[in-house]
Amino acid sequence: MKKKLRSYILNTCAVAALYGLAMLLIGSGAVNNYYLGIMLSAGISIVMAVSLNLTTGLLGQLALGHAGFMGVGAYAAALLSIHIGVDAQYIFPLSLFFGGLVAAIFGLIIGIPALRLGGDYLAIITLGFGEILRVLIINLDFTGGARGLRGIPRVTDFTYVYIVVALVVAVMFALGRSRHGRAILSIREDPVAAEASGIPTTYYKIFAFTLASFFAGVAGGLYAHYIGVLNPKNFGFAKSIEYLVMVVLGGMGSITGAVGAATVLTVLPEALRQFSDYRMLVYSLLLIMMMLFRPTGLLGTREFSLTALADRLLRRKPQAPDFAALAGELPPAALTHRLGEPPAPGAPALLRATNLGIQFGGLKAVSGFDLALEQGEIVGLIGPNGAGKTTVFNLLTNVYLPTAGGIEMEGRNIVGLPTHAITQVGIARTFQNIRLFKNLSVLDNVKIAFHNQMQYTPLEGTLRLPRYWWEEKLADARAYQLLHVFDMEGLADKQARNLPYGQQRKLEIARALAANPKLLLLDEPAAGMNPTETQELLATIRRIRDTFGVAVLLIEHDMSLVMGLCERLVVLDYGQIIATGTPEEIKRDPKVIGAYLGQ
Amino acid sequence: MIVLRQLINGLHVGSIYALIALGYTMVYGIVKLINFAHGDIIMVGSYVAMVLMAQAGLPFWAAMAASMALCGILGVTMERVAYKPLRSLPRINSLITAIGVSLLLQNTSQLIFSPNPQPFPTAFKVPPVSIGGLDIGFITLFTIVVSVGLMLALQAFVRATKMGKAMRAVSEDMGAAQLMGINVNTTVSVTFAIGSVLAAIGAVLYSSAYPSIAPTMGSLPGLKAFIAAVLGGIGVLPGAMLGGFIMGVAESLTKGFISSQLADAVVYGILIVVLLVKPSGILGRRTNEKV
Amino acid sequence: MRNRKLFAALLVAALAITALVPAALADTIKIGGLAPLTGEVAQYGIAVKEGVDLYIEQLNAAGGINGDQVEIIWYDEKGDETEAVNAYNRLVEEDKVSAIIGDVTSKPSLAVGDRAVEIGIPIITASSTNYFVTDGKPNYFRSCFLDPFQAGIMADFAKDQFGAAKVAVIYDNADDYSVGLAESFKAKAEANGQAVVAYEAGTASDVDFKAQLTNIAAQSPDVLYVAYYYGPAALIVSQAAEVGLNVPFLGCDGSNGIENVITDTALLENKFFYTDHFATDATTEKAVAFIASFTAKYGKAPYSAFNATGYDAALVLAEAIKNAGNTDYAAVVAALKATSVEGVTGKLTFDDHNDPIKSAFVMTFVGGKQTFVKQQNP
Repeated sequence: MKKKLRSYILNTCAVAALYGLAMLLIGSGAVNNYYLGIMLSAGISIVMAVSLNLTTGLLGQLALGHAGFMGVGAYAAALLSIHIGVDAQYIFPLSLFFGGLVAAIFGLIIGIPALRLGGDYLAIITLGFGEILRVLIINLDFTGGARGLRGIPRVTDFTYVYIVVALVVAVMFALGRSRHGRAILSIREDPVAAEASGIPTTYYKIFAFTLASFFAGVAGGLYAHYIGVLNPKNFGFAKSIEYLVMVVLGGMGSITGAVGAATVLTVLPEALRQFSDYRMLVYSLLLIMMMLFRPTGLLGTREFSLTALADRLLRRKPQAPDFAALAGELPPAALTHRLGEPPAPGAPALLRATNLGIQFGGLKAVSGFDLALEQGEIVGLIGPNGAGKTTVFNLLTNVYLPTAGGIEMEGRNIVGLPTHAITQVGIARTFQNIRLFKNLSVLDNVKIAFHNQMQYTPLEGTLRLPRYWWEEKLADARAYQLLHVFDMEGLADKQARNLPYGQQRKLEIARALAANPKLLLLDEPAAGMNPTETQELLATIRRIRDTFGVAVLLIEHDMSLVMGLCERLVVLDYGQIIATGTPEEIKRDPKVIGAYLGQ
Repeated sequence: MIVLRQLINGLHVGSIYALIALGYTMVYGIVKLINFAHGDIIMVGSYVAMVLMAQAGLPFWAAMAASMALCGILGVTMERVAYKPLRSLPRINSLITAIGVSLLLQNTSQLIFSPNPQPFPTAFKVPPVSIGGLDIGFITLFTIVVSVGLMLALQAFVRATKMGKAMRAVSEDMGAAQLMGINVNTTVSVTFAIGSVLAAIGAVLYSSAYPSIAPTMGSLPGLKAFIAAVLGGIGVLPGAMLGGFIMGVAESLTKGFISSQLADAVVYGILIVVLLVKPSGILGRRTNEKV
Repeated sequence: MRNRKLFAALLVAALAITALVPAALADTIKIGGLAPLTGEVAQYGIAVKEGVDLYIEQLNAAGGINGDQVEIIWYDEKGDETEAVNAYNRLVEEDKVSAIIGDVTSKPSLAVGDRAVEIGIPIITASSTNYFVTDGKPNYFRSCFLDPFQAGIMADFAKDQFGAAKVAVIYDNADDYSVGLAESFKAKAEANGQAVVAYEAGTASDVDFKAQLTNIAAQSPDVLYVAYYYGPAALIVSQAAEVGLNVPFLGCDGSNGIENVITDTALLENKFFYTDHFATDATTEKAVAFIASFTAKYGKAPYSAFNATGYDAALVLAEAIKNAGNTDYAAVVAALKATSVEGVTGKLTFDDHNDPIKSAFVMTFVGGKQTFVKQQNP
């Protein structure tokens, strides 16, 4: 808290000081219209780059039509200013907001269908949108058509641009470090794992994309009222690419990188002016060279931090947050997971799958799968490779939609619920081939799964209202507590990708637990662990069950773990259950022996 | 009669889109790169053929062969210098270098040839062919036949030859292909070479049909061909062909019967509708991610 | 660390050089040139630049203006408004130019004009035909035609020459020059009682016009007005032949140069008529000399109307500075207003709206050569 406060004060002072300095230079004439013009263009580019960075860098979706939203905003804001009949300087903020709003509506309309799909589809659809928009603007009357829109009051000045840039950057940082920002980042890192951690990924994709469109629309409004005349050709593919180049050169996902690259790339063509005809040649060569020799961009995914710089200059060591102290500040009740009430007699089973099955084409991957689980049970799902064990997990979490049968959680039908909703109902899982949010910290990996247990809205997160502070503090403490269960609290600041294999597996379990499940699905948790680690894991899983009261269903090939841990086993072969029973019974079952020995 | 005319107009443009789209789709299928410089290879191919025919006085076939060879080399060089070093990085990096290469080619040619449009020498002095009372320009027929022929040949190449098999393997899984002893670098280079050679053929046919060439001439057909590839199902060769024809015919019919101003909007509209209904494109395969 | 020092040193050196340069060139008159020299519309920018550069070279060789040499500083603006404004600001604030020739396309011209009118700097465009470029801007002049004038001439020409009752138009709806011409032609034709039977558009960088031309042919018009620059115009004429549209074509001043890009000039013979600023075969000494010197300097004959309007823009501006006797903005603007000078495109004077009052020439091709048909006075 103290550290955060210091960083706020430092950054606010820096922003104010920079503004004062700039106004002084402009007022004294040291910055003439030429430099002022470049500063304004750079400011508008910054807003564009930072907002595109939200879609492409943070959300991880390639968009090739960002300039289209700028165009929508530019025309909307300009038309409002021209037609409202009030002196534009009085209603300029309203015009800007209106531009942003109209762009956001377009973003929503395009985002809803396009973002359901992954891959390059957003890229292609946004590209198509940019081109259609150009055709529309040219063919509509009120936009001025090919002649462009003239006579826009030129009210954009340094103060407006500066305020918008500062606001957009601040919002990006504030939002980025809230639960909503983490949700967006988790989608970039691994959409499947994000869903499984309870993040409604489609919602957040659309949210981020719409927000980016809003900012682009505001930038368009600034642009329209700066340049005074709008050209429909100016918001097409080539322009979108210019902004994309800024994001990539700045370092995908780095907000300060986008700011830097937008500035450099606005100033660079001016610096190259004396090359005249050769200017674009030099520019293109620089572009290729920069990509080849610095492919991660200026800053990579890092952020430039004034606080860190100040610490360096004052030779202060950055302090690791003291989790134990943090936990001590909070009431103990806030820290423990709610243990489930003991089930009432006659209550429905925790999980009941009946006659569950799925077909891929003609292949029955799983069929007639029946299973009932009670609270606190530890059950093993075993079988030879390719028996369909992971498919069962995928069916239970609706990664695949079953083609037959039903699944009930505490009596409630959950077939067809989106994965994140199933996580919310109380089923959390890990993955056979570890799916962590690799570029995020260990702490954030865990905190992402707290998403649904936190309440604060994007606005509260951005404005840092009390609920944000309280919930974040609680989340930090609980994350620490969970990591402590796995002896990993010392690694909280490490990037997940840098952990050794065994730790990554444990982190994945911690993340699944963070989603506050009633049922934990573990897919080969001991894979790649040595016997000592496996024994530790065995103890840990038991402890988890006892502490958190969860039921555990696990897939495992390591028989020492399975036999030592599970109270009940289900054996699967060719997609069908061939045996169920206690470990002792299973060991003696001839069908199981046959399946394993391949008879 | 008019419908038939417009249909033939559409097939002509469409077959050129298709030819260029084949190159896009091959490269995308294998390295998952949207090669934005592909359109500019058309420009280079056109200028090379133009210079050889108009200034060196070479016959059409020789100029075309030289243009194909040069574009092939250009394609491979481009891949080796600008894309290969970035292969292990996120695809967006190669996308940016592709844009850089595109700008480089455009601006270089602008410095050499000036930005003014230049005439492309007439290759065929053949009277129009009359089919059922309908006059069809020779170049129109020739273009349609050549592009369909090349698509079939390419399909056979990918299906039947060892290199074709290597291409399919690399496109499925580059790492696994390497482990199986396939020389991935050679395969990717061959892909770029074939794509660029096809672009050169497309360039010569395009410039013969629209004999006014300029340094920025490649951007638009490049973009349209890319859209065609996506429409048909990117990575699928017959898809590129089908996408190209659909685009050409849709454009032509819109211009003819709806509004010449909305042709682009209709084409992109079709693209968006198709993607919403079948995200992998008309002939594309949906690939499920293994969880 | 060493890199950083090196960078700082370079920066200081660069600043020092920038500071020194203006001092070294004290006795010259500086004129700014704004044009797209790269990008999609570079061809028009370069056409203007070559015309302007030719005149400035001749002017300096002949002793400059009142003994002062003229330096022209060109900045590329890629056809982009933001770049144009930056370049304009740099010319005015950093290079302290006395006057500006530019911009080339309309929207950058409008953006620059909004700013130029605030300080009253003399500025002249050789190519922006948009009415509003000079509207309400007493210091902004142009040396090219306005759309209604030259399009109207062609509508009349269609009536008088061919007795055309049915006319068709093809234009580029993404280009304001083309849209302006098409609308003006249509208005004049309708006023003349001619029926506009087809009004077809293409969009930016289209190369295939067969669909539109097929539609036009189906309406069997008497003439086709082609509101396109020479590159696409050549394609339209060729493709019209392919779809069997055999009518006279009427073009605009942008059509100048079509004979250099069309593959079969026979298609133009007494078939393609366009408006131009001067007649190459039967015209003033000045025009003949212009063609000769242009060919000598660039190794090719003038290929675009903008070569000539660019030359004239520079000429008019230089004359005005000479007449004003100094480079004071207001004095030069006043002198521009009072311009009356013989340029390659005829005698130039400006009307109240700062548009040139000059004759247009209808041209066609005979034996592959540009041939004078008719002169139309304003």
